[in-house]
Amino acid sequence: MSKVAVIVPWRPSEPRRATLWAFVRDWLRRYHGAWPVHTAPGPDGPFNRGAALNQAAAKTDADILVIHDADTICDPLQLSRAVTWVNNYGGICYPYETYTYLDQPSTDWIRSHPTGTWFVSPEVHHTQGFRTTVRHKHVSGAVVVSRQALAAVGGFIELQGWGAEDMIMHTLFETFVAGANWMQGGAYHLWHPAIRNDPNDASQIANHQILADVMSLSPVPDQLRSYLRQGGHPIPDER
Amino acid sequence: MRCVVLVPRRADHGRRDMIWKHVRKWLQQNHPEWEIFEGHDDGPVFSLSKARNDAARKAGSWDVAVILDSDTIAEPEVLKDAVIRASMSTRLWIAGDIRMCLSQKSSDQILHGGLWFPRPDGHLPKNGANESIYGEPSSSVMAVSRELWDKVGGYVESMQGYGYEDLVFLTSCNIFGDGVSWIPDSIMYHFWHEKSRLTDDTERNYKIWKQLDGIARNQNARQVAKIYLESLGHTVNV
Repeated sequence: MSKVAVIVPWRPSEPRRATLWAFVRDWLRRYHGAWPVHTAPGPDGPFNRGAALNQAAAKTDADILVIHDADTICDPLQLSRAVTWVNNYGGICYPYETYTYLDQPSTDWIRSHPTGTWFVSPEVHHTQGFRTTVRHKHVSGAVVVSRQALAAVGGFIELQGWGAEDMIMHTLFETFVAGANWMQGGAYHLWHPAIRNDPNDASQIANHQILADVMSLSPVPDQLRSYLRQGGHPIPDER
Repeated sequence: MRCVVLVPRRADHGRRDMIWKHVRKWLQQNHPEWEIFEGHDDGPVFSLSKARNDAARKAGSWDVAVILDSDTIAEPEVLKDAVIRASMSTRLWIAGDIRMCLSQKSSDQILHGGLWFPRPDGHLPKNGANESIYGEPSSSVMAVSRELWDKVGGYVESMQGYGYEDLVFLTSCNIFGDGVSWIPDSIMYHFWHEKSRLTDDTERNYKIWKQLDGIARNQNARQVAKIYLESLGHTVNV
């Protein structure tokens, strides 16, 4: 088995998130104690998830990286299977098919009962039911990538602020690394007060424009490569 | 107070029996004071209504019954809460306001003693949303007082097969009792098994429910519903 490390974009912020990260860190130790965990805060200014992940990835020479958010837990069995899958086949693998945004009572129950019986519920958005909180083949929260695959897409894209980078990275992996695999498992987002991006914010508009451009150019990899190079995110040429 | 658990059952000598074995054990561990009664129907098409009524008859004299599907569990403290609430009125209490139909994998993981990591089965590929989890379910695990059961006359046995018999029961509880409530912020889990095939009975049952649902909106709903249900061979006691 290749060397495995967990990398977590993490910057201390409000107390609830710190409590969740302490829980997630313990969870990772309990079920994946052999994998070192590296965190990084990214540069000063608005939280830059891509930059934080590039920093964290630079702290380790592991061949397999588990990119893991500080507010997410995965079924340990499926995460281990995802790592094995990447070890065997390379590329990227999500350790879940279903990603659930838990409500606050369920999150608190899990924190106080890390093993045992879990009767846990997703958040309900009254206008949309569970549509936005139980997601199939979601592309954020946790993903296992080989170092080689990460290099093939030029590392994590660094945007202004956060939002849209996960979908951009997924598209890059789909385009340049022969697709993604999903394990038949679940992952939970642990509840904390949401920080909503202002859709009118100039950086948000710019990020979503980049996402739209990346998706529209993805059928033509050379054009996408050229576009990203112009934007300061060079993708290595195919050998 | 004598509380009993009523479970409609037909053996399949396969996965459903295996699930019921686990659910039964779960009940015995978490609610050892409640006696369990299985109800059966030996007709060519399994009638959930007949089986539930059969279980109620076998249970004899009881104060509150938990009507439980053999493939479903509710949080123990929530179910106890539902039983207490049901004992105090003629309101039907459902032991959770969310029902999740678990995926096969997460069902197996729980049933085989692994880590609980429940997730819903299936999805709608078009928008990524999931249809195996929904609010205010009409069955699964619920508590009913004897008084309410007698008022509505149990389940309507002329409804064959499965489907909508639970909604007719709920609607009857709304018409003849104090109504239906769900214990808030609680989830019930349905363990995965192959789905039963829908038959023509389901369509017929749907029409019965729609008719009764329309009647429930009338000012004299009780009288009209009583007459309608009697036309189906079902007696209510109001």
